[in-house]
Amino acid sequence: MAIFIYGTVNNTGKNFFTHEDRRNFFLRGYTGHDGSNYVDTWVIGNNEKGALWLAEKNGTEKTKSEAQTLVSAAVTLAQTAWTNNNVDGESADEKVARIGSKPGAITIP
Amino acid sequence: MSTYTELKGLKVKYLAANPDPGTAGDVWYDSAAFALKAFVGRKAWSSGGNLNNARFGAGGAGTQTAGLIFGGDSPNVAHSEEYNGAGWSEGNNLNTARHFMGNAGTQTAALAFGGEAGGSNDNQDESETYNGTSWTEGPNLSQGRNRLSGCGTSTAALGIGGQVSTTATTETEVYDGSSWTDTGHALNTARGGNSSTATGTSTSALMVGGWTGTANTANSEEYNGSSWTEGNNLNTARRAFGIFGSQTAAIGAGGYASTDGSTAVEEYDGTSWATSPASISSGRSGMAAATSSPSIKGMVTGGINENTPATLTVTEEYNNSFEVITASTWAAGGTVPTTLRGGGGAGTKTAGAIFGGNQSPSPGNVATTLEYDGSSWTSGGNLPAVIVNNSGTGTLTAALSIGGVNHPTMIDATNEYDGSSWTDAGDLPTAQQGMASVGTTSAAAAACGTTTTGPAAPGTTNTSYNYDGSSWTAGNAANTTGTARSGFGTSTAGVMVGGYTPGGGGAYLDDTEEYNGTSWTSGNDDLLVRSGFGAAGTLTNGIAYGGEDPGWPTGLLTTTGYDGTNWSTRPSLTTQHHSSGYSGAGSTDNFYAGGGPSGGTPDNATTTEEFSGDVAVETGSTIDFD
Repeated sequence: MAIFIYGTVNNTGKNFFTHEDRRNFFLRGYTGHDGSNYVDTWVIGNNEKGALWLAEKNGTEKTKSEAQTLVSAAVTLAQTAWTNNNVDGESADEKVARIGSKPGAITIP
Repeated sequence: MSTYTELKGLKVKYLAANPDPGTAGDVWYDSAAFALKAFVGRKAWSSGGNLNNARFGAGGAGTQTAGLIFGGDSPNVAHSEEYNGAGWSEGNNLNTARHFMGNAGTQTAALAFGGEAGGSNDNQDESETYNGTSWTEGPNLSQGRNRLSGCGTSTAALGIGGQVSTTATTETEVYDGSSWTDTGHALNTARGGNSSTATGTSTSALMVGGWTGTANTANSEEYNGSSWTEGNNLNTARRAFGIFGSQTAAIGAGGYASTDGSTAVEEYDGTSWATSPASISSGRSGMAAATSSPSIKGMVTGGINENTPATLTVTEEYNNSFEVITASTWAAGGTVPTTLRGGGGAGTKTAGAIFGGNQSPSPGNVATTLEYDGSSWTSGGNLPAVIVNNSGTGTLTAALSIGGVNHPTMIDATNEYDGSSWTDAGDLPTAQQGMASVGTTSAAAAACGTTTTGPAAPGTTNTSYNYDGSSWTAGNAANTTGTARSGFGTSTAGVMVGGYTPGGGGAYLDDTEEYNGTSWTSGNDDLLVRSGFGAAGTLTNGIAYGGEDPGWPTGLLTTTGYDGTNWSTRPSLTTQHHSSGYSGAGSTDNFYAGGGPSGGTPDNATTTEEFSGDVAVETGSTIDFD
């Protein structure tokens, strides 16, 4: 049995996942992009409560490969935005100080 | 003549709430619930903090709230870790890496002896003692052996059975604090089986299960200081399980029963073994146990799942208590209205504020204040000027914003928030950004800023200042030069941790410093290096979470806790926050991590997470009548 299930559903804020949820199953959130919109992408412990959580949120189950593609697309957008975010006369160090380092790749578990 | 009791019966307390403090066996009538209730022990295992190093066949000692693990296999290691009831922190290593050793004692006075170091049933005879800080070589066993069991204290211990190479022995040695002696008191059944199959003292021990050389055994024997006597057998023959308790009340968990790691738990009442209704959740063998624990409150950790097989970091705690314990963890909070990073923060998870920061890519640095009520974020009064990398401390209605930068201008301003608007407070002696701060609007300390921009941060300092509510004065410098460190606590009992040093790209820090209002003192390092993270709590109960490390910008989920001496693991964040600077004050049960970018997508993190620490609630059981 796979250790994780994968899904997309946007975080609606307070109580989207609860302390009890976190105790009941593994949960990690990543920002993904589906080509049109940002979509929160979740790695969820593969047990009954984890699967039920995704279903109750009306989430869309994804394969690991599909989830990784979404996350990588968001990273690519962030990298492009970082590359294009420049101020005339700014050094590389100053740019990092202003907006942080260039986003790197993310590999979901 | 009739007695009052015969006529009226026993009196039962009539209460509207639980007895406080409660005692096991208390019976009362709950007038709010209209029920007769009692504090009845419940047997249950719950998850504890994960080990830093996965392993099996390690030695264990101590209790559920002050545990110790040392050595272990896969690979053979010398690692030693201490447990504080919530998480594990690194200690100094054994002098001899080994596994399948005997163990005894407590977290501050432990004993490791014998075992296997070469991986082919070799027979170690060295013993080592632990004083809470470091391991010291002690006298050797009379007979080197592996897979032996141990119990007792660091000055009165037994080394029981084990294998000489692959041959199971009956030998029992006793340690008196200065030397090992063969007692001549042989077990009735020769056996090895790993370190955690015996419990008790050197004159009142229990040896259970194991491996005879040809099969697992269910045999159980009791020792009285003179001889071993046969007791009633385990229900299931097994070896390499975790045991704690005493000769009259013990718990044996998991182990290698057939081909897989068992989840079954058996309990001993001094006469017979019974299967417990509470089983461990992670089936495994070769775990270490907190051997000095009483049978009502113990812990097992590590081990191997023979199905996978995988060495484990899992810790499970056993409680036979009327307290229901809710473990600490993070949960989702209200969504931040805008993306932000690198601002200041103050307050708690039900009354907090974040102020300043950078909203990338547009409009960049902001003067915004956002207030949190435990559910949602609303706009507060703006700072006098746009700012980023300002430091925050205090509460929602009495917060300080200290220093910062609006590239390329360094800021020396300190501003005070009253819950609705900001006013000028005393300026810093030197304009700087990225300081760590602790305390309140009337008594604060801030240190380790930088007067320049760029990751090389040539202007990074170890300068420290004290704030008295109106002005800043120079204090004694911190021990480590760094910036983007995080602080929590008060101006007289504060902690500063992490950050990065100046230099070619900067080197990330795990350094901890404690402040007593006058000087900074180095403490034990955090479990990881990082900067730009959140922190909150007190000197003796603080946490640090998220941030960035050399692997940035993947970002960190890691949460660690500080107990005034050591750092240990805590439940991780769900989503990444770094450079957030948004941390709360008060206890670790009471703060939030709001805003901040998530790794790889710095423009799109608006999440908030709320942390709640362990909560133990005395819970009465309703007594039903047939």
